[in-house]
Amino acid sequence: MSVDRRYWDSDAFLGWLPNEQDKAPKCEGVLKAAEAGQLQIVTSALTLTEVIRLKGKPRLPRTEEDRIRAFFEHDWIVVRRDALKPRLRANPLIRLGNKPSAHQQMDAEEVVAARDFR
Amino acid sequence: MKWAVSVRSGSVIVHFEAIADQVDPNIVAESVRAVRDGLDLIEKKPQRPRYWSDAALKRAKELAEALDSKAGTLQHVSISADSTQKVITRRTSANVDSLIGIELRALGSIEGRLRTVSEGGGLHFVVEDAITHNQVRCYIKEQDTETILAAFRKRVVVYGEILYRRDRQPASITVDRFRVLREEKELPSAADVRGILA
Repeated sequence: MSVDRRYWDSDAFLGWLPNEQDKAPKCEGVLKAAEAGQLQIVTSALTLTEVIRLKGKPRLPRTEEDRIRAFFEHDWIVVRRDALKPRLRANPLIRLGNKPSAHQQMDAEEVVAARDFR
Repeated sequence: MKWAVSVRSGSVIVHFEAIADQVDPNIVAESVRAVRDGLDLIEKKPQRPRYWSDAALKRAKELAEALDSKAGTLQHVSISADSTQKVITRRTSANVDSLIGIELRALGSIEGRLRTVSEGGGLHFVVEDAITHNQVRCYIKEQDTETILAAFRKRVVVYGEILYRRDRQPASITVDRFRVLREEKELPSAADVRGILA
């Protein structure tokens, strides 16, 4: 049976987890449908890292980090953790022979995770 | 759905009849179309036909390779369905190879529910990809057997060297380590984590 899917990058999760007033209500419907088994949320492993290690903010207490990691283990959140290297080779955004920048790597992984979800 | 297979004595023509058995007759017609159109597509180019699993692709390849059989009696393989005939040549075999042949290997991880555990073809278990539903073989060491059996039917993440096919899908992984994921009831709900980063 095919299930409807939504691709979420870190922006969506960073709307829900801090309960941002302009974003969280927009995320609620998708999360409720996912919890009801009506759809899957697909994201990349990089999203989890971006959510847990917030740029310019102190490291999260261990209990909160564990709780967020546990949230990402739901079977309705599909985290693509495929190896980055071959995916980069497969990605037309990155030219072979050039060492990709950290940003290019991040972009490439997002692109690949989004492509896989189609 | 059931398939009735019949063959006449002395003939190389095999007749398959799809029979609706507790399924909508439309599904039967759609299945026949999927076989016919899929064989047509895979003969023309290396593109996965709609509804076709890896197993279906491998069977099509076997059909094409009947032409290379040492018995050497088959000159021609074709499929007839709905008054149309599709000829299968060695191109089908080459196109399947292009689609699912192994292209490269790299370290990575695979997530899925641990299903089959088998010794056939090397000690391994199988996880099913949550999106593609492809089965990925996970080769394990003998000493990890008991741990793997204890994780039977649980969701796991396995880390190790992955073999990727030409269509960029993982085909198998040699397991270096693995982790059992928690069951749904042990995980926080969306409401539980709302505002956790506030």
